[in-house]
Amino acid sequence: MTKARTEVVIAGVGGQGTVLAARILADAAIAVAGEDPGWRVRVGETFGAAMRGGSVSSHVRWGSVSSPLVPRRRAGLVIGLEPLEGVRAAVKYVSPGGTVVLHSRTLPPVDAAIGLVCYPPVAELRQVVESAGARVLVVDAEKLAVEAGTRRCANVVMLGFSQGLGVLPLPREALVLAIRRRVPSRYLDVNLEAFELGRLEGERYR
Amino acid sequence: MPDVALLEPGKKVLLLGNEAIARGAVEAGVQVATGYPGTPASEIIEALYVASRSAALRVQWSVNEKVALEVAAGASIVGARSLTAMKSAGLNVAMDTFVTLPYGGVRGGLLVAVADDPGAHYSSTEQDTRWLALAAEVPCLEPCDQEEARAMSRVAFDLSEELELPVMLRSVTRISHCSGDVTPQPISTPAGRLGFNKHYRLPFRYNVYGAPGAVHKHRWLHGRLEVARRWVEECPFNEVRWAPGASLGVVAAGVAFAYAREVLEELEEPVHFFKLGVPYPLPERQLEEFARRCQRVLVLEEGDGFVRVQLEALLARQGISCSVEGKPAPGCGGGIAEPWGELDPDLVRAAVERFLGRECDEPERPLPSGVIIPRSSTLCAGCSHLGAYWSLREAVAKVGGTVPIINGDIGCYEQGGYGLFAGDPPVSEDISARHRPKSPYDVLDTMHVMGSGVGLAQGQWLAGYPDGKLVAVCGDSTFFHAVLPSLANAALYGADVTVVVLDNRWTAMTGHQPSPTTGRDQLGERMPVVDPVPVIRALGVDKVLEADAYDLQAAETAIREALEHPGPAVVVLRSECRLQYVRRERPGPGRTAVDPAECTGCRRCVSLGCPAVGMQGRKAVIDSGACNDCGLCVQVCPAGAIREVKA
Repeated sequence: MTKARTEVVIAGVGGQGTVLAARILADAAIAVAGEDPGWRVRVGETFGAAMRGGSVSSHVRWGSVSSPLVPRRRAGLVIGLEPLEGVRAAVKYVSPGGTVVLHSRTLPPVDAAIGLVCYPPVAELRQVVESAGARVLVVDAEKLAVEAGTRRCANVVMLGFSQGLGVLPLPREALVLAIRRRVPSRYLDVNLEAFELGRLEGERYR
Repeated sequence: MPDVALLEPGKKVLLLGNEAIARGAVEAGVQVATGYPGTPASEIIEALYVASRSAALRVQWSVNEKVALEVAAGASIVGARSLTAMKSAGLNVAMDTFVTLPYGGVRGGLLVAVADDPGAHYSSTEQDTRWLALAAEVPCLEPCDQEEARAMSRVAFDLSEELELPVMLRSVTRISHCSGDVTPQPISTPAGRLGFNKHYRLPFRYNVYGAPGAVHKHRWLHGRLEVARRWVEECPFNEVRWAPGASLGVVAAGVAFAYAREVLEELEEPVHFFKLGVPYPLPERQLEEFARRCQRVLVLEEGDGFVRVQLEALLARQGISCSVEGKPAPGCGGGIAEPWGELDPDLVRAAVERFLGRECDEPERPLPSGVIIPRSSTLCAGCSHLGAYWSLREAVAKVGGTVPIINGDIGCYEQGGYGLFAGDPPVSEDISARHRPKSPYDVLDTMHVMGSGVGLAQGQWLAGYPDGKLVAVCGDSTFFHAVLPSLANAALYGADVTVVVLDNRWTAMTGHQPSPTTGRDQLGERMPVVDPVPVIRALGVDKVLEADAYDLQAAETAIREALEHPGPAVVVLRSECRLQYVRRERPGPGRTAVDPAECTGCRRCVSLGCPAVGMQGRKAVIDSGACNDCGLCVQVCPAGAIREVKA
């Protein structure tokens, strides 16, 4: 018996806002859950060692859960704020039939900059996920983020996109409230706009 | 970060495990909180700093964990409820005090919150700190989630006062650095006034040497442990779920319970299930009863086989024939899970399936290595350590000898020893082979714990190492935490070593807590600055040089002069952490750019190791979104192709 549960993995590079994105999802999930005692929310994070530039990922789970980490092949949704990191997480975690949304903007690791390895073409990365039986969508979130006001809010564009796409079982209002709660006031309007632009873009792929 | 003192009782909220620990302490009316930053424990004190704005609570980042524990213990001895928080490695620093304190006992509740780091995400080792609670003979609580972390933190103060002993709360990365729903409870105000009774219930109560002496006090401590054993049998943190008809049992401690609960729910096998919240002292009566009803028991725990070993001994002592499986004890084979690495839901599932004799049905998908390339951890764009390591590499290449040794330690600059993950480091038996670092990430040759480099360099000198110069690097926070005694030792014996202090004015690695050179406290209030230079001179080091890490020529010259000086020499490279500078000054997008017409494609700028500098085809490019205009790449470009474009 597997009880109702939602599992999302958000992966990116340190500094892109994976932790903030995960907490917005979790706050929205708590708001939706109300006071149901059997319902729990968990966010598992890896952060801190690399303030900037390292691989980071957050696991967000809600419903009948207790573990802070997603078991392999269980995430219905993997959000990649950077394509390589999104696919690295998706290979392990995406469920067959799950969805992977990738921000198209690549951030090559220093290993590639120094010339030890080559950054793979995004088409090849896409192929890796598709062969695992998941659907892949690639979004130019940076373009929408810049349209909203700053490229730094691409993480919130990606949340909006996932919600608009219909792969995030959380209502728009709950996410907007969570953004209001988590984002500092001077960046709030830009982030609300970024969420909306992402959501409208996601609806186009529904 | 929320103010945990202002949370509404009864209303579910998402909290980081560390915030939940802080909330529990605030609920218990904690009056003094101390700590030294260390991932994954730092947010406990950060949250209490924020809470000190609205709660009657005094908080400090102490200079190291031993000082932090002593400050908290001093407060406890005069009756204040006190907490000290640190990571696993930090407790080692505080260990002398930690094992001695229980002999004299404490008065105000004293909680020692320690976060272990299985998987070594942020640590030198995977140390299981529960052994240290056993060594110090104090109770150890181990939460399974954030809500229980809050509850245990709250109860720990009452328990500590009842036992008159410090109580340890053992967290792990997946509790401290994970978030979960927490239901805050009302905040209580501690009773009793501050005071000091030298002979409270014992002669020379807080003086371990005082009559009747340490052995008597050790005996008293064991008497308190008997009280703890009775408490453990009745506390709410251990719980048994009986499965009708089952002959197998699973005991899961701490976060292992969170994994095991889901696995057992999914597998739907009849298994008795023991949730263990207190790994020391064990609830022995409850565990005996549990084991009597099982033929075999699997112990799941994060870290070593700490519970497994104790449980085996208990069952042998009581003549209970149930067999115990689980992690092997250090040095013993034959376990169901390895004693290294971190648990996760898949490992726990596999261990339970093996225990039940089932097939594991979901193998891991292989990572296509040619496509999914590794991502090395890097220093930040514009980090002052990039400049420091460049200058150090240049100076050592010129005057360091054949095989200079660069001894490192712990801080952001430890990344100078991480290497590049995509590289294939050579393995060699040739002790005189010369290696030139290709990037700042393979500069450090030794790395252990805070301050260790300065000591190791002196040992290399004392042994008469013949092949090159001996260098140690340390950060500003580390300098005050662990380097002072070592440097005094170097001055005393005239050790021919060069110490480079990378003073970026922050304890940056753990999230930019203030250091003694910051001049601000955690909440941004003004504090005195302790300048390392007069301290170094006062310790007896004659050769002390200063330079700016962003001035590569000046820094290299200073390091060369120090290397060539016979006897101990210290170079203090001062330059603020670039992230903190950028956060405060908000200079906007980077204006440093490469002129492709002048770029020769020599990759010298790339070997600086800055994540904002890369190659596009045969030309260097700078990512203006990441660039912080530090000017280092401008200085290293031999063709003059990189310039800061004035707005």
